[in-house]
Amino acid sequence: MKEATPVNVYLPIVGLVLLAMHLSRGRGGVWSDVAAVLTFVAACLTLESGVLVWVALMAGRLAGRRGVSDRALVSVTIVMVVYLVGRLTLLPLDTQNASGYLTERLEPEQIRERFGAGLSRFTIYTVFASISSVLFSEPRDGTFVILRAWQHGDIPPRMWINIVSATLTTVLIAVTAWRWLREGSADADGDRTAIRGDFLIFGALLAASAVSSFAYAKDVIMSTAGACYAIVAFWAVRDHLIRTRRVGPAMVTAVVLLVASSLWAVRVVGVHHVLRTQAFAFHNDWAGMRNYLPDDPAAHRLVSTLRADALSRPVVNPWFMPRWADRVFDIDY
Amino acid sequence: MARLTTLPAVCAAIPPLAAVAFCGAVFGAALFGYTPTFWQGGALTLAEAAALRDQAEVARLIEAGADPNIEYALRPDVLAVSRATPLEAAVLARRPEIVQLLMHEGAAVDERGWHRLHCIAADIGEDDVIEAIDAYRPSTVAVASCTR
Repeated sequence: MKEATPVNVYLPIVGLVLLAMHLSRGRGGVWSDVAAVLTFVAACLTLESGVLVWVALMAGRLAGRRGVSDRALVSVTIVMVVYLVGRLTLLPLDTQNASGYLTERLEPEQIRERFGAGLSRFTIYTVFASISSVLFSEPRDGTFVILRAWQHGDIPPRMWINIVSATLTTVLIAVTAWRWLREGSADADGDRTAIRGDFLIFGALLAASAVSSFAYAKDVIMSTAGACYAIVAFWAVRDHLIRTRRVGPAMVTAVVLLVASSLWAVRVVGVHHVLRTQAFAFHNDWAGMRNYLPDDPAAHRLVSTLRADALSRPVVNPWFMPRWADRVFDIDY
Repeated sequence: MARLTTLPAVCAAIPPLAAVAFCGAVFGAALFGYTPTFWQGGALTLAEAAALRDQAEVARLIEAGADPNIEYALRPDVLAVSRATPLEAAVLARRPEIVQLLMHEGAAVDERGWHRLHCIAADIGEDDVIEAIDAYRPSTVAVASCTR
């Protein structure tokens, strides 16, 4: 069964983490420190993933950025400890969700039955699956949809588009990271220091997001790492473009960039299809909400109003969409 | 300043520029009231919504006054029949959740209607659809028998 979260609460976290990264790159000052603390508080009051703001600030500091002072970082850390203690003691932990495992989708009872509670093969799998979902666009919500499609004898083009575009981009990022590691800091100019900072923050956010999704794999949990993936991809492509090279390597780079860029362009053009497919699914979720209205009168009124509002908005049934769109554009959510 | 290698830069730039141009053209056309055919939707009848798994449209149409117990026209590609009641459409389309939703929203079946739906479901052979129909068996029906 799908978790019912018809309101996108992850997008503000992405925005707040990017704001924290911007603050840590800035010139600093009292207002930057105040803004950093407020950003963290706003993120944590939105969702548990708000802790990623702390991760971004600390990784920025480790990378040598001084936009946010050490005093502010200590303040944010204290607020985080208070938040975590309060969150873990006062509210229940949400570790009961369906999740993918290899080519299957498992319900919470099945996960407990097969892997037991606590740290298990499943939790290790979900952490690495979450990292892989950012770097290679597979698995999706923990399920290797391309393997499942292969078992059924039909891999639609959208799966190749996703996996090839992401893999080529990840290879470009890896080559760039390897070059900078090999070259060390001796030749580092201002740009390179900034770029290394973004790579370090991306690595920290990727690891932290993956660890935070230990209980179940969900693509949206990795959306902040995904946004930083785009930033480091930009730096990697830029690095490949500005390096002086001979004709042969330049041709290879051109072909790789042409293929990756074309496939990403298809994914971008397909966003409207993804949104329409999602809108139809969530529209139906709201219709089904009638059976799960809360007992509390105020909550009942609120959910009923939201449901009526959702149902009043026209959503196109996928039947009207061309069949090829489902094969070319992403729908595995 | 670093030297830009032109060919890779052009190769990297052309596809996203084409994508932006395409999206811009679609949005621009929409601003002037033209919707491309691949982006057009359409109104569904209650039976079509039931057949096409559109729970939200089923709920919306019934809450707006549509009768869940009469026949509606169906477009040629939706099902193999041209007219059906919403319940018949849901059964023919193998949608047990829509059967439950329609019953919840006021659809009713008498002895004859239930028998007909049960036999359609049995003919299709989908267990969860048969279960969904059987859950609403009128108390006056003892045993259901379907003859071909």
